[in-house]
Amino acid sequence: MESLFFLIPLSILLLALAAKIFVWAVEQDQFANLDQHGLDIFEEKIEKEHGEN
Amino acid sequence: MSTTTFNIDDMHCASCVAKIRATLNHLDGVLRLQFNPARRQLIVSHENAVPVHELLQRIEHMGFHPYLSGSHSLSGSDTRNGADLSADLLKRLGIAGLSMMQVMTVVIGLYAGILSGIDEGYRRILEYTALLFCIPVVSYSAMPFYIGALKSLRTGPGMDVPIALAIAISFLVSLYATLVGQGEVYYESVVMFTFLLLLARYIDLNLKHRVDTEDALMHSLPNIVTLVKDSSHEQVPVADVSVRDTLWVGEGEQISVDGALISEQAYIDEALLTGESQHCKKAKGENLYAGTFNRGAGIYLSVQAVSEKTRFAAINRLATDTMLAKNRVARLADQIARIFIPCILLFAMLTYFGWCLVDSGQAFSAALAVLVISCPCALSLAIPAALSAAMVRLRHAGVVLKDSTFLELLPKVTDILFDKTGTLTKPKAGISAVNTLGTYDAQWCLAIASALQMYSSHPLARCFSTSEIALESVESTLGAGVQANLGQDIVRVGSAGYCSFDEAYEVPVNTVFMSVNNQPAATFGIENPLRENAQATVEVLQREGLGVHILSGDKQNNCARVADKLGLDFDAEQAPEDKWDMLNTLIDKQHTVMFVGDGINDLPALAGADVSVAMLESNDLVKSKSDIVLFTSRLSALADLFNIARLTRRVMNQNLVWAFSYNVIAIPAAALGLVPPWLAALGMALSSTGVMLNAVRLIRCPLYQFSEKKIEPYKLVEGG
Repeated sequence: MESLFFLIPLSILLLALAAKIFVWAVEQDQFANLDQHGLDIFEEKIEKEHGEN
Repeated sequence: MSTTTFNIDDMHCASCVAKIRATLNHLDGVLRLQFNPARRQLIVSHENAVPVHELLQRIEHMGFHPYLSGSHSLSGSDTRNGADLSADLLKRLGIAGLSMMQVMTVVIGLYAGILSGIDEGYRRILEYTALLFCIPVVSYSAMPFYIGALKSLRTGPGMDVPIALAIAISFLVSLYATLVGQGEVYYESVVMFTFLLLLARYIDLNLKHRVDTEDALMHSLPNIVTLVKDSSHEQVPVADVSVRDTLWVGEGEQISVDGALISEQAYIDEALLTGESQHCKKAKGENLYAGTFNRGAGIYLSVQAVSEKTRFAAINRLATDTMLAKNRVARLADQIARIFIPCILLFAMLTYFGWCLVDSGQAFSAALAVLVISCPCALSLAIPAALSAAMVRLRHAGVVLKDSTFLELLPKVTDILFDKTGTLTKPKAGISAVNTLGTYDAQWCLAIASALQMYSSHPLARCFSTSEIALESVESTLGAGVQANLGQDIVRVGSAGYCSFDEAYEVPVNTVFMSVNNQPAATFGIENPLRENAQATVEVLQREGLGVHILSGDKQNNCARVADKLGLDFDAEQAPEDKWDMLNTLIDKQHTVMFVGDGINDLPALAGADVSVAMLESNDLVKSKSDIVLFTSRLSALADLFNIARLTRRVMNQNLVWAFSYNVIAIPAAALGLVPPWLAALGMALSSTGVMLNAVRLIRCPLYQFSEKKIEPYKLVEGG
C-alpha cells in the first residue's frame, strides 16, 4: 500500500498535464472544425504553388 | 490590416475551396485566407488598400455567390461568440471527463475497502485524493449551472437550480465527511452527474441552428450595385446609393432596392416576395421591389427606397414583431423544477424537526440524507437526455431545431399549413406534359424546343434542358419567342400567337407553344412537380390526426391540381397578410398550428405559427425566422420529425416516472434513516444511468422508408 504515496502524486501530475494539453488543444481551435483536416489533402498542390510565390 | 468574412453558401466541396484559394492568393494585398467549410465561410485578412467589393467580384466571377458577414471591420462576431461559447463548454466538459476518470479509480478503491476492510489511514488518504480530483469539477466545470441557477432565481427557479443544488449539496456533505473523518462521500456521483449534464448541454449547443437575424436580412440582398452616373457604369456598395439614383441591373441579377422601371419592359422573378415562381412582366414606370430578380435582359431603374424603407424590410419587420409577441411554451423541466425544489426543501426541514423530537443527534445527518438521496440527478437528467438524443437523431435525418423546446411542443400540434410552391412541390419548375398535334413525336418536339429555348432569355426557357441539335439562322423576338431553320423547316417556340395557335386555346397550366412551318405542332405544360414522397408524407401526417391544409399565393387552378393529387383542401391566391390572418383564426380557436414555408411571403405566417418549418431551399432570412429548418429536400423528414417528437415524449415520460418512483421510495426511507450510504450512492448512479440509457434508444430510432406506395410504420427498438 506504500506505493500509494508515489502513485497518487503521479496521477495528480498526469491529470494536470492531460488537462493542460486538452485546454491548449481547445484554445488552438483544434476541435472547432473537425471536417477541415479531411479536406486538407486536396489542397497540397495549391499550398505549394503559394509557397513558391 | 483588416479582416473580412465572406459567407459563400455555394462553396460545397474541397475543390471549390481550392479554386477560391488559388484565385485570391494571387491578389496583391491579400495576406491570409482561412476557410470554415462547416459554416461555409471565408475569412480574408488583407491590407486596407484592397477594396472589399473587388474581393467580392473576384469570388463572384468564379461563379459563387458571396455575401458579407456583418460590417467590414467586424469579422463575424456572432459566429465568433457561438464558437467561443462552444469552446468554453468543451474545456469544462473535458476537465470534468478527465477528473471523472480519476475520481472513479480512487472511489473503486474506497468501495473495495468498505467491502474487504481498509485501514482508517488509507481510507482517509483515498477520500482526500478523491476530494482533490473533484475540486476542478465542482469549482470550474459546474460553473455554468451555478450561473444559470442564479440567473433563473430572478424569474422563478428553472432546472439549473436543482442541478446546482444537487452538485453543491452532495459536494459539501462529502467535504464535511472527509474533513471530520466520519460519514460517507459522494464524489463520484458529483463528477458523473456534472459530466453527463455538461455533455447534454454541449450536444445541445452544437446542434442548435444559429442564424443572426439582422445579418440574414443583409445577406439576402446583394452588397454591390451598378450605379449609372453620367452614362458610365460604376460598382458601388449599396449603402452609398440614395433615392432618385439610376441603377443598372444585369440579366439574372438580384435587385437590392425598391425602384421604378426606366427601361421599356422587364421580366421580374418575384418568388422571394410572393413565393411563386411565375415571372411577371413589368412595363416602364412600374414598381420593382428589393429581393426580386431580373430574369430578362438588363434594365435601368430609378431608386425609390433603400435598405430599411423597402417593402422587403417591411415584411421582415412584421415577422420580427410577430415573433417577439409570441408566447413560448414553458419548458416541462422548468415546470417540474418549480414544484420539486420547494417540496424537497420542505421535506428536508420536516425531517430535521421530526428527528429533533425523537433523537436530536440524528436530525442533521437524516436531513442531509434526504437532500443527497433526492439529489434530483435522475429528474434533471430525464428530460435533457431525451431531448439531446432526439436532437442528434433529427440532425442525422436532416432536421435542425433552433431549440429543443419545440420537441415538447410538436406532439400538441393539431394543424399543419403548407405553402404550396417550394414545400409540397419542388422549388424549380419543370416540363410536366408534352402534347403533340398531328404526327409529331413528343421526344422530337422536346429536343427541338430545348435547342430553340437555349437562345431565349424568357424565364420559362429555363425549364427546358439543353440540347445539341444544330439550328440555323436563329431569330429571337422579345416577348414572343424564337424561330430557327432546321433543314427545310422553320420551327418556332414561344407564345400561342407567335406559334400560330388560336389565342384562346385553352390550357390548364403555364404553356410554351411550338410550331413547324407555321402549323401548330406541340404544347409544353410547365409546372412545379410534387416532391418525392409528398403524398406518402401527407398520408402519414393525416393518420397522426393532423389537419393538413394548403395556403398558397399561387393561382386557383394551380393549387387545385396539387391539392387534388394529395387529397387536401386549399386556399389559393393568398397574400402574406391573408396567410397570417388565416393562421390567427386557427390559433384563436385554440389550435396549435405548424406552418411550413419557404419564401419571404411566408415570413409573417412563419413567425406567427406555434411551430414553423423552413425548407432547405429557403432564403436565409426565412431560415432565421423559423423554428425548425430542414437540411434535406426529403419531405418525409416532416413525418420523421413528428414521429421522433412523439417517441421523445414517451421516453421523457418513462424517464420521469422512473425518476419519481425512485424518489418516492428513497426519500421516505432516507428520512427514516434506513438507507445505508453505499446504497444511496448506488441508487443515485443507477437511476441516472437508467434514464441515460433509455434516452440513448432514441438515437437508433429508424426513419420512415417509403417504398413506392407502401408505408411501413416502425416501432421504437426496445431495450437499452
